[in-house]
Amino acid sequence: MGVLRAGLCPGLTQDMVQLLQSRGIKTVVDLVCADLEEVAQKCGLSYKAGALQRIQVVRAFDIFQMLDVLQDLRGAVSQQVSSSSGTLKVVVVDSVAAVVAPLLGGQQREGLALMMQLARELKTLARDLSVAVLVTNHMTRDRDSGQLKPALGRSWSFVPSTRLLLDSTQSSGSLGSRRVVCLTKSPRLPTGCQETVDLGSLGTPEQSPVFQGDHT
Amino acid sequence: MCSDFHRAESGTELLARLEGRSSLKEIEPHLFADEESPVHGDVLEFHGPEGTGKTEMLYHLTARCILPKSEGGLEVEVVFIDTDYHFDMLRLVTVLEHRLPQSSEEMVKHCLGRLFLVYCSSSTQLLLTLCSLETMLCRHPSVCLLILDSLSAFYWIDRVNGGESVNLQESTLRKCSQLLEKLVNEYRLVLFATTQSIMQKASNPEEGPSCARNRLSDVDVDYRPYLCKAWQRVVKHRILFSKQNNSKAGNQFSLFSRHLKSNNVKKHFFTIGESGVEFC
Repeated sequence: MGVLRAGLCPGLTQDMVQLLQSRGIKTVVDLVCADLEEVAQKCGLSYKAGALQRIQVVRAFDIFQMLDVLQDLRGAVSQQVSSSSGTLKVVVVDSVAAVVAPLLGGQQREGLALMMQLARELKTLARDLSVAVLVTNHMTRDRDSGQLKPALGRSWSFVPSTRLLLDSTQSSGSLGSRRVVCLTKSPRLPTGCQETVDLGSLGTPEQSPVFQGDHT
Repeated sequence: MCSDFHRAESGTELLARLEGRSSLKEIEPHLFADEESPVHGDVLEFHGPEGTGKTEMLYHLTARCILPKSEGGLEVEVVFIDTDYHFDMLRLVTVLEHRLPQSSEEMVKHCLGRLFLVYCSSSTQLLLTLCSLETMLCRHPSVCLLILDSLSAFYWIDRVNGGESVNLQESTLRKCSQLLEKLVNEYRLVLFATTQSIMQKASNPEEGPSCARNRLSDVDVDYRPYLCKAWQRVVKHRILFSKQNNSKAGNQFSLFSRHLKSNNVKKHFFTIGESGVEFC
């Protein structure tokens, strides 16, 4: 089971399969157990494996898990536990609305307090560890005016220092890959400037996709 | 405890406390007419929703204070307490560079030497910071301006930490307000504090002849006091910020300035450019 073959995942071409087989890596299990750095060096897979190793994915499905994850992160960085990926530069939370929205609504203050506590954790993380914190949020419709506005309410709107609004371009009948990015909040630039990006062709590091991002 | 502390101060320190503070009357002629200029002991509140220019206005006032007299500043020192982790040094430096004709790094550093920046991440930390501020103010007689951005950052967290008793919920902020009043009066400072509009718009506008007379627009009605009474009492001057929504006006902001004692209300317009706030 799980024999490596071409097409199993993007980037796994026939050449690569043969290269891996020549090094004794025949199945998925072999690959996972192998030392990726070594494999990368030997098989010339260097930049991809290296790049992937620099991304650490953590799952958190409610706010308490989220706060725990942030605590662990602080602990790990302060003890300077370095994986081969080097120093931490960006923390991405996709999406903050998913953990916070269930807490809001009704007359409960606790939900708002937890949201502000999360906000505080993220902001102090950004400041103390000198990292960029990027969160995603979605849009809701205003009850009175019917206009679209960012979710999570007024209190959250003060938290991000920069806000980018992603919208699909008007011309797209089907969704397409083009998006309009609009700066709606910034500590340094005038708001309102827009850019159109094509998500499909994004490949350069400076143009990473940001989905309705709130940048703390 | 406080009287013991004062007895322990030297003669120089006493003089510094009582006489050394410069006047901030000229801090922003556009904003404050002569009779309403902030004087020593004044507390001014900047209130408004997100993105309405409150922090920018604080940068504008800070720059005005820390710039040398030769460049149109007041050459006084400023204490900036940031509770939002919002303070953007690069932005302040950009504002300073635009206001200095030959903006050398030396000059900018010299100006920044007059700024004291403190971060607080909880209302207890804010209270402790304010307590420790007395020593600092004695040592720096040229501090004239105290800025707090923002006072309402811990509102929800405090409310939950206080449990069911409103008294307990508000207690730390109440102590902070009383301490701020004391500092501002004893050390003859001016305090600018921002509070965020985090409450929903008032659905029923207040009725009554006095309110109708003073209501210049919906912005006035939008103000819903939610912070403790101790803070409401301390504020002498309330400035409500809002952003114009019509596209014709571009990036134009407006503010309503109300002097609480005299009940004078004024409206001002401003834009925010590279060099900071510019009044229209």
